[in-house]
Amino acid sequence: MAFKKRDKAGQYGLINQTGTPSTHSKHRDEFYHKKHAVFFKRVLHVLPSQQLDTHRISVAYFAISGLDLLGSLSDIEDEKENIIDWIYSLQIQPNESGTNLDQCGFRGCPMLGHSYDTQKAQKQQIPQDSSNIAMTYTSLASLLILGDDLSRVHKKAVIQGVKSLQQADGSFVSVLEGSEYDMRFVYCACCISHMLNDWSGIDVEKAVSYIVQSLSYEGAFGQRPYNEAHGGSTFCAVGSLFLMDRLHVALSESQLTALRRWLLRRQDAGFTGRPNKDADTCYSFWVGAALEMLGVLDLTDVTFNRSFVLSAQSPITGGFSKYPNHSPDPLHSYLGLAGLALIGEPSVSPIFPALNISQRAYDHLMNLHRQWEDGH
Amino acid sequence: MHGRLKVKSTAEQQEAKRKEREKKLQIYNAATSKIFSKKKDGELDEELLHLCGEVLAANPDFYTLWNYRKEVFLELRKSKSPTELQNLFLAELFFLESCLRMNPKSYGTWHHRCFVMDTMPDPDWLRELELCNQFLKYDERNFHCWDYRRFIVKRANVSPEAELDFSMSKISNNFSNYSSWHYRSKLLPLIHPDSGQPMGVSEDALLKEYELVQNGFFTDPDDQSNWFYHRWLMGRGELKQAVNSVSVFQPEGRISVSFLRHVQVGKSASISLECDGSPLKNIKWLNHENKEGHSTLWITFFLFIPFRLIGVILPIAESWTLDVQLVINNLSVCSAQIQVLAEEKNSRKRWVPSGLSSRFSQEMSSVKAETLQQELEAITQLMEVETDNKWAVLTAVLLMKALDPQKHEAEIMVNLDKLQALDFKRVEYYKDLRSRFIVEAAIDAMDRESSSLATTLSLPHRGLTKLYHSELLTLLTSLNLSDNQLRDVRQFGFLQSLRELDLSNNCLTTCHGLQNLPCLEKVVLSNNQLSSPESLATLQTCPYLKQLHLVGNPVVEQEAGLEGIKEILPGVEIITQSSS
Repeated sequence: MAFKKRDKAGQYGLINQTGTPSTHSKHRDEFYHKKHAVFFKRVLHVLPSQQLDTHRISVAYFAISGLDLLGSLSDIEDEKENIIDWIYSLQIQPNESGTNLDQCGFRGCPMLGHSYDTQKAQKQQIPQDSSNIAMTYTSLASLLILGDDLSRVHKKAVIQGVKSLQQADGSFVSVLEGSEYDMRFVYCACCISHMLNDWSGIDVEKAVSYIVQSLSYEGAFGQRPYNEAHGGSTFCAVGSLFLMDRLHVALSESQLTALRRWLLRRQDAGFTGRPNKDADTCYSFWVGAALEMLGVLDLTDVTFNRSFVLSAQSPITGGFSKYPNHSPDPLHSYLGLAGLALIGEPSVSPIFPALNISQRAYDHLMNLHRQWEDGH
Repeated sequence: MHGRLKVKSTAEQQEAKRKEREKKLQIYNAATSKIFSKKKDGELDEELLHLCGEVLAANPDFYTLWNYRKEVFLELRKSKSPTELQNLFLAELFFLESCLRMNPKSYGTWHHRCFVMDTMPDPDWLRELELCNQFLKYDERNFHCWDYRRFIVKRANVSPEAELDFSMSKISNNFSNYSSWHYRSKLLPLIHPDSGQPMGVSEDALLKEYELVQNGFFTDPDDQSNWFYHRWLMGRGELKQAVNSVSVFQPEGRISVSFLRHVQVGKSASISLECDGSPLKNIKWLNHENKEGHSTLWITFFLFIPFRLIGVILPIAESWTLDVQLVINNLSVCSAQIQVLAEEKNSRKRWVPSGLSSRFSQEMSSVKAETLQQELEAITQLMEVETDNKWAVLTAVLLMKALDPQKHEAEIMVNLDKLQALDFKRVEYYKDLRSRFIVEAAIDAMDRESSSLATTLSLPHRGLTKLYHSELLTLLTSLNLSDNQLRDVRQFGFLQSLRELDLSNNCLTTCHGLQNLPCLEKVVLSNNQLSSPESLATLQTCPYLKQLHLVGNPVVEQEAGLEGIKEILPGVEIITQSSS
């Protein structure tokens, strides 16, 4: 019977026949720092696809955090205030009677009737307007990265908005009117609570129970109970447990061992999201960050990982694609870069894996927390 | 956004594309403003459905519009007849199918389909099942579809047995079918439950699965899914909570209790102590980090040392009994008893989980042991044919460990070395795994020694990269880990009874982890990579530290370094010359 070779390292020309890393892959060692900065700046001005309209802030977050990791935020210094204003225009304003708190948070874009004028939008009240938990997360993250002090965030309203999205089984939907419920939104809820330093919006025990029930026989996490383990949902689960400070408590030693093992097995040159699938740049972050939070990223092979991610760069337009010889897109560009940040790539800033923002942005957040505690 | 190939186009083509985009944008903006004004005016009618449909066909992730469609249907339900409604919903299903063909992984689309099926007057569940099968033929890893299939199966009351057959047919077609194996792992405990067994599945059923998966890996030894499933079949259940050790250090009135599993003393859990039957009051417990978070190790101090207290009321007893009990939510979970002798400075006792050949493996019936033994023989043969198949080697190691780790100790080590060569991307992982097995073998040996309480452990020159299971080594007084490859000493805080620690000839850059060790007197850190006084700062938390060996570390090569150390650790003898 024909023998299926799964190892992609040979395919990408990263290793030669003797199994040692090859020396003549075109893109292998060069990191196109400047081109990536240009790519992200372009993304901030032109939305790559209309399908992303409702998620505009999340695309902006990729660009903003990407520039931050490249140490190139100064390139958009003169636009910073505008961007911050735009993000605040996405915030749902609590009405005077306080009856719309369940809807509060941030929306993804000015759609369905909102003015494109940021000043007007910040004052506009629309009764059926409600937030999206993933957009709230990326809005807050973007504000932090841009150095904003979150003083214009209606913190209590945002937390109330998060609270209204938790389901009976501990999971979260993304919008009040209903949507699918899974690990991604649990993660968003935890990030928001951590950033605003207010956990009153999450029933932590229920959330932990939902996460633990989503463990599959393979030892890692699916999107929901009974789902197959997946790199993205595993990052969300591990990140959530990490932020809730339950990582070594909710999972037994043998569960943690099985989890580490599954994650380590995702490496195939780059990382795959599930067994028997191809390596994809974004998993260098999703899987890499989970491994980092579990303390075992140093058990992976950094050379292969780096080579793979760099081979997915586009030397002409900048940015990274899912794998080599495909078009770059904002998500893979940002996550490829974040994956390089995790392994200490020289011209990339260090990253705080649990929140997926730079360490510098995270230090800024910690400063804010200290100020809030001191009553500022 | 995922995976579009680059295609070159001429200037003409680009201009035409631009015009098309402009037009699309106009339609899009017109449609969304119309939708919004209709919604605002409460016009939940078929026109709104149509408009939403146009936008969703281009952008199925516009979740708000799926919700609007939901609202329209709920509104129409009030006025339309069942036949009209059925037709509307059927049209909706058809629309959803076309959306799914373009975007089979859109969360919103699948979610809306669930709503339709749950709301329509006459749902055809079997047709939906067939739809799932079609989508799975196209992409059997589409987890959205598997999830939707589970929803249908539940609603249609399809039996788990029928689903098991379905998964079986998928696997027979193609053994490399992760999602199917996964499905089986969830169905088996439902169909053949046995709560007495570690995986919740009856032994017969499990053994049949072994046969099935073996066919898989002998047919295609390179396919990961079979080996992974096999790993799950071999899993053991969790150890029950129990007391691991108790230590009473009378001069300081310190009592330490360690458990097999984490517990958080304070909220719903408490540890009660009784001295000769009288409960001790006002005891406050802290974990090994002096905090209140979850831990396996808990420590308390006495204001009044029991035997002296007894001396006030009664003659000083030669020995007294300490009873320890873990109570969670008012139920006793486990308990232990130790005799404390008045003349003994430190009374200690350790318990070993009974009935197991190794606390790291599981109980096995003779039938299962036989099956695994046969499997080991078959895999050993496979290894001779497929000499570079890492899965076979790893599985052989697991089987040997499960069957008899002591007997196969040498062979396991040889195989782990082989894996480092075969699977070089995970070299560090295998070194780590090897370290774990070495420590487990050592603990197994200590467990077997029931006559004396082992308080020293010596593991030099073993290639250890990490010290596993330090929470089970709370009673050690002396530990030798010299000439290994340790890079850090995280988790050493559990070694509460440790007096002497030899870490010479390792790769340490910091002592972070050696904290709050109340008995630690001598630490040998010669020939490591400690390069600054700060790297030794944690040792300040060890109050009885007397001697520190630092020869061969960068920090002592400069005067400033040595001065710095003396400043942070006054009263500790720093030895910088090697003794002969």
